[in-house]
Amino acid sequence: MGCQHLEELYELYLLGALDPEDADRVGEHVRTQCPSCYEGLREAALAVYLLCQTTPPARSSARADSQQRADLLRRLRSK
Amino acid sequence: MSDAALAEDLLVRIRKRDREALGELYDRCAPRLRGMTLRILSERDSADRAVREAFLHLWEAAAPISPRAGRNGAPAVSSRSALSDARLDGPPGASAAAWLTLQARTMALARLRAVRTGGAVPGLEPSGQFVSWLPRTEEVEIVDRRRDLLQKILNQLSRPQRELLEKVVFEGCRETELAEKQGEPVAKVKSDLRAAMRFLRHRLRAVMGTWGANI
Repeated sequence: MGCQHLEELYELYLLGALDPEDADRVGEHVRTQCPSCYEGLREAALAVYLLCQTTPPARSSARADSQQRADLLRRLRSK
Repeated sequence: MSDAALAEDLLVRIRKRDREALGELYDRCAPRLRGMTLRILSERDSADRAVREAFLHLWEAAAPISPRAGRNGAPAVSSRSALSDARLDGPPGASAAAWLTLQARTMALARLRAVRTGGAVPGLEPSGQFVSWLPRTEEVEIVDRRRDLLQKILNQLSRPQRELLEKVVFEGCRETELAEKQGEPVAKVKSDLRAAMRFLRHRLRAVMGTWGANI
């Protein structure tokens, strides 16, 4: 499979949306470390980032934020 | 300073095991990450947990490698962090903010799948799928700065195309699964999704300055 057939699959590959057969075909080619696919996947990852950023921020109250942060740092200490 | 640039600065301190730096990164980035995980999980507590897991994973991934033994029992060859080691396969300056975003999505979708199947919520699993291809910090900054324009581009998609993309991004649906849900032929769903991605890719190139187009 040549790279030109893969370009339209990159974003869906990174999003995990391809059916296994297509995902395997992309994965096999990617493992050849094709430079063209590498750049295409990098560009696709930016599109995926954009799609993930389309929701508005969800803010908590200052107290809830503070609790969440404290909980995160407490879990670090237990590691 | 942009979130993406701040994330890079804080990552330097996080690699040195500065917990407060992780807290600062959380303060700055959590609301937007929570917006995404809440969209995926529709439940505040689970959404918060998914965000927290992404930050914990960042902490783990940025841990310095032991000077005595590398990962998988191999001798360590440097004191680079796991994250920067992973970036050896990726572009210089790959974005930590993008890494966090994609990790949070992965964590939230794993929780969503566990809820749907009645299975256990998975533990802290590394997800290296994106690491090699992470966008650069400066690219993420452009996307963040031009969010309004990019939203306009997304709004130019047809409603069915937008709905398909949302199900892929926020519900983790595969193409065949989508076809079943929509009651449409698989070929049509694949064609619609790929056309939407093609449109988005070309417009994104225009925004990034790598392709000319009127938006």
